[in-house]
Amino acid sequence: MTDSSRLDQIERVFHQVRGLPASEREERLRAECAGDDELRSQVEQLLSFHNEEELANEPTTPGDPINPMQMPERIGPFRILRVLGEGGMGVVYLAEQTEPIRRRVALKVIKLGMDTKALLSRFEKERQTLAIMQHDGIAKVYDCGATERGQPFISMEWVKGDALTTYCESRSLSLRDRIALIQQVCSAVQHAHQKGVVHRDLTPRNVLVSDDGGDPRIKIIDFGLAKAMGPSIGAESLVSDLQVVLGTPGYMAPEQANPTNEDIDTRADIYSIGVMLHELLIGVLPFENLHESGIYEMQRTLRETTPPRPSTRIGSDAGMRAHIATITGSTQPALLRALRQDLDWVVLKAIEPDPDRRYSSANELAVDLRHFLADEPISTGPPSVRYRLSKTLRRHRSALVGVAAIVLALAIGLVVAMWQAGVASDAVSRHETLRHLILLRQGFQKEAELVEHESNVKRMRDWLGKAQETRAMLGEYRDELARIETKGRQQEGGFTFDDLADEFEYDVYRSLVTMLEDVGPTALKRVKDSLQWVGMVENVTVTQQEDAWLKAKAAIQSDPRFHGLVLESQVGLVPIGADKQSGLQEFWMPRTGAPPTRGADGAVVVKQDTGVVFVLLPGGTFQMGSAPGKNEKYSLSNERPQHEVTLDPFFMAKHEFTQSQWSQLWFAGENPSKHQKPGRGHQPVERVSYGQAVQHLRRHRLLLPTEAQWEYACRAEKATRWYFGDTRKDLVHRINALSDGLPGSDYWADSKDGWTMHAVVGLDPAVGATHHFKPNGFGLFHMHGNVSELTRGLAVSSYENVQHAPADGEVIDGIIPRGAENDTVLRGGAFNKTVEDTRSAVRSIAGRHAEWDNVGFRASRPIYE
Amino acid sequence: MPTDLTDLFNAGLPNRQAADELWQDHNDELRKLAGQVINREQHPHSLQATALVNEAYIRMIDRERVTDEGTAFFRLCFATECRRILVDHARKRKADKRGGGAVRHSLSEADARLGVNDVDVIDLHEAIEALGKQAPRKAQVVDMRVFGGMTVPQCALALGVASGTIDNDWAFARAWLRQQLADPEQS
Repeated sequence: MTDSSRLDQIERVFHQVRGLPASEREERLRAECAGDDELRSQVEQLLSFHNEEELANEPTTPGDPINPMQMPERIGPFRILRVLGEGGMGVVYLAEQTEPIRRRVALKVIKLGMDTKALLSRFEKERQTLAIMQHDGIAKVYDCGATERGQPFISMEWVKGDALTTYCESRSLSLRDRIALIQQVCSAVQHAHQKGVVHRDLTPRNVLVSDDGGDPRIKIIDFGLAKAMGPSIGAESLVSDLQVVLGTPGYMAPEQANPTNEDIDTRADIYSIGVMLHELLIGVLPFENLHESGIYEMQRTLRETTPPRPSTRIGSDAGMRAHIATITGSTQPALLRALRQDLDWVVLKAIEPDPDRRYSSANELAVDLRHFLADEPISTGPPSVRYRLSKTLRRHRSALVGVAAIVLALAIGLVVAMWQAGVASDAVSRHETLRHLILLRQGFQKEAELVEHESNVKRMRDWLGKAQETRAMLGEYRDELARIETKGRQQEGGFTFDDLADEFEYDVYRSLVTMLEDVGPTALKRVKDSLQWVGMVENVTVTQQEDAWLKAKAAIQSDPRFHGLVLESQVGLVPIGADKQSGLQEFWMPRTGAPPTRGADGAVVVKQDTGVVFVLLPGGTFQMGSAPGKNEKYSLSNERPQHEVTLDPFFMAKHEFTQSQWSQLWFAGENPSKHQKPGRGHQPVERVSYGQAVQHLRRHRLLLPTEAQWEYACRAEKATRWYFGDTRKDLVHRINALSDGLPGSDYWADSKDGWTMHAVVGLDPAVGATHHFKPNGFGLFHMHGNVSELTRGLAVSSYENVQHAPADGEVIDGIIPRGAENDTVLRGGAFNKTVEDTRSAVRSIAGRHAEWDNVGFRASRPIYE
Repeated sequence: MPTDLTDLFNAGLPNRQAADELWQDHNDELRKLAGQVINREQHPHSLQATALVNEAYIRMIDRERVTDEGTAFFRLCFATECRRILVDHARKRKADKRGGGAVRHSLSEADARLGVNDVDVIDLHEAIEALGKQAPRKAQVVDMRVFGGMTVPQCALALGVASGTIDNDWAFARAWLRQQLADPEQS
């Protein structure tokens, strides 16, 4: 290791040499080191780890504070506050206007060298048009003028926010949220287009996003400016300053790449939106390094090349795929699926080189995105009828009179056109078939919405009929898929095709076959079971259990904690009497597994195939969050302040949802859990995402508890840090958490209890679980440990931001911190969390897509009338 | 919202010592916060240090009142802290027999900024500490660039030096670290 002064020496020489071309380095080094060979070799070594170019190309964030020395103090009536950004046109300042009104504005000062007079008169004309745009998504343009030195300037609404791409990246927005932002862009652009204004330079830098703690909103800046500026620039700068004249390379439409083309219409903006969508989805532009190839080459590329499908692009690059999946919060297969099924085609239609084949309006694009978000068929149904047809027509061009005929034919309609072109009409029916298949697939997926309930019997029967028909066709679909595959080339993860139409066909068949093979059997079984169950459920759980219900109702009505609650018989549950210690009534949900038994002491015994046991909790008022006073110092800010919450009575599961309950109910033997052992089906199910839990519970009219319900259930009327007290000495045999090495913290002697990570959910003498992890005052197990549990809560940052205290099972309503829109709150500790993290009030945040081995959930159920 | 923190950071470097002391008071909270961010990540590899800094910033600083200098100074302070938190976390994971076992724990974001491949965060940490002993400012610049996600002008603002100085520091420190990390025997 070198000492400091030596390091200074090395550094001095290093800087002197590093910027030089390799040919000159040698000589300079010799001169600088003057015989000090050691110094020279040290600098040389360091230089070998240095790369000047790489350093120069490091990304910088737009809006960096720029050297304040260059900043004027005033421009015209504006006081300059700071630099907002610098672009091709000039510099943008944040400025304060004092007259005629006091406001902050973004002041764009155009570079010297442009023809001020022509620009201003042109801009003045344009301003009339710009003034009629009134849309929340479009920044207003106020005024224009010239500085003393003759520099034109424009004052505009100042918009706080991040560039579209920056915003999405820094918040790791999900796929859906990204699409929702593009929809907002569409809405703003549609408005401008209706008013006859084209942006011409839509890029992420011109689409700013801010959220002020709430939902993100976009605002487009510089609307119409490109047109106002365009023709006033001398021809010489055309090539050198592409961005000023034409738009930003990469985002601009092919027709814009021709500098003499004045005929730019609204569809150029559609193209730019398409590129932004492309970039938000997979992180790269359809064409990269366009500007490096020069303007003529660029024109050619844009006009003549059909960009690859986004899914193909990421499909061939595992690194990119992983990156995208991480930042969008989707799993990789999910992302690929979403792209392959629909989004690819939406993007490709938006960035068609030929404007006539693009979406004709921003609205049309927005509608397709909405369809995608709602899982409905997209209009473009890709190589859309039009696309397919035009491809066919191109092949049969000679058969047509001319281009006019094609256009006319398109207008008249598909069938006529095909007929005119002398093509057999099988392409038409082919397309209809594909559309039909897409609908079949989507119809099949509606299974998720069929809640197991009497009111759904007809829907379930209809679905089952159609689904069975579809399923019966599987063999034929497979054959067809195999036939299509012969036209393509096999690649990692699928086939690629020269003809996009084939590729689309392939995708349709493949996704249908995959779905029928993968989820088909489970879905069919589930709906069949549900139908059968619904038919007998009332009989089994209510009619045959009349005595049990009478007893339970009477006990509840006379229990002062329930204030005279008159409970209706709950279809789907069977009363199993009260817990001896808590005195609360317990219920078994037969649908989820075998009946529980009670041990000699009256406590519920859980075996590996036991169904869910619910406890009816009285609800009432309790203090949620960390208590003020001496314990506050142990709490986190997101647990404060403590506030009062009132809850109605509700059913809360006595245990975490088990692995056997999960697989029996939904997945015909599939168990996602990381930690499982033969004979231990009553360990909690884990590695289930929030979405999966909610979706599957809903099919059986169950819910995740809200945070308030969870904390109330956990505390069991105790205000202390844990339900059993405030000190660690009481932890023994109560918590399955990580021993954190503090003296006396040996409650969970690692692995000595024989459990694999998490313990079985209740008492089961058969596996030796007779005394571990005692229940709380409501008779609930493992609220503090074992696995953390999902709740229905939104990830609000602290209760300070809560608009009103939740009651009656409402989710917490408040301000969601930036980037947490897709988060959920986990409650309770876990086998690998420290003891402090198991307290009743602790909240930890998890992404909704996360599937972790230390996270499970427990079911809750409202009292149904 | 701890407004006193915002004021202190707005005051910038002259109040460094006061900020440091206050920092200590909030250390627990920061570490808990960090734990939550870390727990939220599915794969340790994808953990972004800048996400941690951003989250802390959002929770601890009054964004209405904070100045650009205050922001830059906050990021400077927290970037260093964030590195230590990540390292502690990585050490804990390595030591924790029920955790990840003896996995290498590298940060893709830091790798990308330094232009290195799959460097273990603990090795990186030790290299930065070593650099800090000889050239403290350079180590700060590395923290800000790598862990704080800060631009050169922001770094200049935080340290109250010219951008050119930061450019030089960064160029040198980057090469130096790459050298150290490539050939650990030399250190």
